[in-house]
Amino acid sequence: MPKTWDTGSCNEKSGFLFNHECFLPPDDECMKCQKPVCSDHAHELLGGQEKAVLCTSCIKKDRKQLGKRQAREIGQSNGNYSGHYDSYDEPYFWGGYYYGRTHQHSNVSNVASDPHDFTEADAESLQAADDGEGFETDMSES
Amino acid sequence: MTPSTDAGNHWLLYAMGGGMGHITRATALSRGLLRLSSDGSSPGDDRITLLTNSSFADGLPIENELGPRAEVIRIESKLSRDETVDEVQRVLTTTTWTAVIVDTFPRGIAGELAGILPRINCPKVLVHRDLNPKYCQKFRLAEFVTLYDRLVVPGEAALFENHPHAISTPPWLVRNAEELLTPDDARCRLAAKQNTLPVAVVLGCGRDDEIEQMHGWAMRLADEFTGKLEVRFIVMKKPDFLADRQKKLPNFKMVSIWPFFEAVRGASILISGGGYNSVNESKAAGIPFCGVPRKRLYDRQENRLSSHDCVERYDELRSRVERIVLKSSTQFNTQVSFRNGVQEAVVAIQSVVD
Repeated sequence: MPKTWDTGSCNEKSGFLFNHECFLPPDDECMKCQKPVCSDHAHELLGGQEKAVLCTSCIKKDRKQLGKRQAREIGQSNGNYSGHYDSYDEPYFWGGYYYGRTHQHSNVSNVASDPHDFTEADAESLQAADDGEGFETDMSES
Repeated sequence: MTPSTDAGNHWLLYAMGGGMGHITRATALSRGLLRLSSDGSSPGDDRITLLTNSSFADGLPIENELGPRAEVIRIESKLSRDETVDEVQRVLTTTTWTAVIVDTFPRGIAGELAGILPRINCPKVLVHRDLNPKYCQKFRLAEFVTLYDRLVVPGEAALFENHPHAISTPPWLVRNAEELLTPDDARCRLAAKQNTLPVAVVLGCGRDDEIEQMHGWAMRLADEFTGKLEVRFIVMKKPDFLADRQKKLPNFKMVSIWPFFEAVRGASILISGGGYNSVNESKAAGIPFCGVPRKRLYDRQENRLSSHDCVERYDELRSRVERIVLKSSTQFNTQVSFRNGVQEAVVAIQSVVD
């Protein structure tokens, strides 16, 4: 049975460090799962004739599968995984780049662990940064 | 769902957010709504449920202020965003409301109302105030506010004040003019009846560091103007650091009064942040005012303060106090007359449920 979505707001829950509900109004629909998504969580596929978007969850899944396939074909890859998506440099994918790609094709660093890695203690400030101005994250604001 | 009784309206006031501003404004409106019911204009005994997560809420006698027909739900201020959203959802969806009245945040403090309000089948009213334009743009509030049956603008310019559903009123105050204590009685409440010196009232509100700053300024004023000025520091939540800073000065006292507006006529000058209530209360009562514009995510306090009321440093405050209070021969506070926007707001809100 296909999943039903709330059409009144963005249904994507991917965040920078933590998953959380996004209450932004939807702009698009994921071509794969039909999830209504806001512009922040919509990732346009480039190269096609018509505009097509994937939600952050689907693009992460897609990328993971692509990564596995390319790992199998290592040596043949040109290292340019992000060629047909427009937004791999968005924060939602930073975690994947750092922890996923660095082992094989890092364009970030060859260092496996960094003493300045983010910890849970950084979560609060980083979550605020994820939302731009920190709107709707601080319950004590006025 | 628990149906409300047929006896009267049951209003939900969403007053989430930090500080005392949301609670005080919601209390002012609640008084108006409950009075409407008491004077026979409404067909029964109306009830109010006021929802807050302010860290000040525990120390404020809101129930005493509003009486037995009001219920105050205090959500713990330290809850996470997700926990806060769960609590709001629980409160909003387990009772049938006559109307939901949302103060300031169209989408809620966590954006949670975007998901909740469309599922609640009752009129919705937004208390629409000035908001950070980046917030309005990012969350497309121009579209979102159409969800509301009425936007009531309480006395200050706001982005959607010309919306077809919007009605503007004078500022909302928690007392009408005739309810304010006389200057003599107010000095009594401020424990300043022992002499006739002018009284500088410093409000300790906002964040802990802001309360600490205001406390420090109040002490300095008292110290530097001993024998010339009485200083009262009004504080409803005493952070720990205040407990061990009770330097004894004969002209300094810490007092808890809420709503402070009732005793405003005892003040010769009011010193506070740049929040909605203190600025509008001083204007209404004609009390000289000094405000420190505080940085807030949504509220733009710098826009509320006129340049001659605005101070940022202690030396500015000191010279202002000296000039206005100690060297002025003007007699302040002789008569008070103002329009309280609450009455008009109540009529506007009532019209969406009639």
